[in-house]
Amino acid sequence: MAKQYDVDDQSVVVVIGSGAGGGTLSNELAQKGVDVVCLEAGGRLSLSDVVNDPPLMDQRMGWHDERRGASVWLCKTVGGTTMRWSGVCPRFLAHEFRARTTYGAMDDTSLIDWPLTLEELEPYYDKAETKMGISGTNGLPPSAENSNFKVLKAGAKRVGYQDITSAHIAINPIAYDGRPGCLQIGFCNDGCAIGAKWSTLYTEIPKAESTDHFELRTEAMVVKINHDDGGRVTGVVYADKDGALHEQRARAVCVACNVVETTRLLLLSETTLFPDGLANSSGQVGKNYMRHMAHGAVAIMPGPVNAHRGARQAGFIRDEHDHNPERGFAGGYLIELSGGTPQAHSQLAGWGADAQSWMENFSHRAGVFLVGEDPPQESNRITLHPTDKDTLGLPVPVLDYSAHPNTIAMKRHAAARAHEIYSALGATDIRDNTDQLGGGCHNMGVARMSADPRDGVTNRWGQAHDVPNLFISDGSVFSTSAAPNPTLTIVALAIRQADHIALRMSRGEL
Amino acid sequence: MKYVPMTRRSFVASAAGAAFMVVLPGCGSESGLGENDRRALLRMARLLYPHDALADDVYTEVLQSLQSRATHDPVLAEALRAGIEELDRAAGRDWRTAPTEDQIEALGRIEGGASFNTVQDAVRAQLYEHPEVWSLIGYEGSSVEYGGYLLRGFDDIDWLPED
Repeated sequence: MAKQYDVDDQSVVVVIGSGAGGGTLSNELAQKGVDVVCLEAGGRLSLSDVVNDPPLMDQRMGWHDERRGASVWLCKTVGGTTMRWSGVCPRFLAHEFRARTTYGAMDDTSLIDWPLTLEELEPYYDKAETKMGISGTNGLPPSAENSNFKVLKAGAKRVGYQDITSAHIAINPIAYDGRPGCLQIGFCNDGCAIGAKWSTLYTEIPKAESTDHFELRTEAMVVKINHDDGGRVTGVVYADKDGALHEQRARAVCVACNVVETTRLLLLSETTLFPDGLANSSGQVGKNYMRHMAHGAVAIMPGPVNAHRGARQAGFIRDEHDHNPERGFAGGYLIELSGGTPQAHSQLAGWGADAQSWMENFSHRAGVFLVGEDPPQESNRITLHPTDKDTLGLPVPVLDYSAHPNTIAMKRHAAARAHEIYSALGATDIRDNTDQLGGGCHNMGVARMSADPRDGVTNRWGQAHDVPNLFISDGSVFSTSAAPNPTLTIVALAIRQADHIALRMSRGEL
Repeated sequence: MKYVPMTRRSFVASAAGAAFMVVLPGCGSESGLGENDRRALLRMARLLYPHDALADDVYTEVLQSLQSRATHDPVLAEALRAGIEELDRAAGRDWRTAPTEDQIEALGRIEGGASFNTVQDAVRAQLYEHPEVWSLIGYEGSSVEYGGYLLRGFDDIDWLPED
């Protein structure tokens, strides 16, 4: 029987969300003997619920509550978006923590440096890679090179790229940590049916449960964070699966709801003391919402590739990751492998004879996902809709996002390079996809870390500037987006934050 | 290539869950499409995604969900009929009986309109979840029950240049 805590138990740390940030933080705290109640809005799947059927899996684990504006592709399930991610785990480069210093003042951005350096985060990157079983680290081999990767590698070499790797993927290349090696099933984004891909559902959560310091409550949607007259948080109100409200008391609250819901929860927690939302004296909550430069290129090659076979994104090219302003934009990008289903392929089909040839050459498909730094803009923000309410009667979130000219310039450059890679091998038809491939799967900012409390919402530990026992534990704290996929950095920051929370508790400060 | 069989029932169950459903408002009274409308939709589906090797049955099956929604959704039914009338006007005659080139040209003229998009999205979402189409284009579907592709060709590309 798993541990159960009373709702009036004020000694627990409440973690909201069970994905990369919340699941990791929960386990790290529980391993140190800190009592944790983790509240997850979604239900709990088991591996036997994971089938190779993308539409069905979207029903089982996707987040389908109403939203307005820019679309996002998130999960409402134990494990959060670690169920859906592809496992690509590059580290940030040193200069990416110093974006303002490195890139200078960019027009129409709210660029700042992180109040944190690569050097400080490196030990936690090491711990995250060990925890997750990242290929090519800790003595594990790189991920196996599938046919789609071999095409990318061959084309990349022809255009002069050198830093091409199939390592740094959070999918077991061989059995590791009680989970099997990858069987190249090919449905990474629909839940890994054998648990070879790292997800908190079958790593952090059961490990936390084995400590006797952890309780997971599922289908528990937090709607408000409460505080006392002194401005310290005292607990959270959540709706259970029947819509009944409960208050769980807490000594500290950690919010990890994947940016959109993190924003909404802080804004919903407005009171007389915090009239613009909790932890929002700076007015920065919801602002500086970043999504990455995200672009897809798909090519029809001269021979069969069968890119649906094997891990979707097991490899990438790092030659364009550095900051090189001669290219006409600040920051860098990664060229990452990308597989896909006929459904995804059909999004670029057009119609008529065009669609026929595109679809009937599906087996010759090769593809990349281009992902790069997206500078923060105050006007890119998440707010609450003034009138539209969800089924719980709460305002629906509104996502305002438009790409910065720097992001558009980077996208053009990246797309042209992708075309060169595939043209070098004789691709017959290359098409681009900006809207459906990737945009909205990486969400960052909205409660960013800042040295100056006027510039952001949290300090270098993810602790709210305004509220000493409130922490933000997801990608919301990113001061800038950097180029890499965010999960590895979210996990590293969560491990670091757990150390900090435990230390502060041991000093009697929390 | 190994073709993974899938029953029609599991296809329908799966396609019904497609995340690409077209949303049109409307509800209420019984309405629907006439036989001529259904024929026009079938022709549209074939011309939008013309896979010569597929029998009409596949397209008919793919259209079932759209047509059954139209039965209960007068707004959708009206939108679909309006699209067909647009085609008639664009072709200057009964579009269904026009020569193929004229049918394609008329389709091109209504491309991007609401009716065109409704039909295209609905057909695309269902067609490329259909096991017969997968077989035609070389997609192998669910693989976990066969142990994935680790021992079944995930890295078997053989045409890349040596350099």
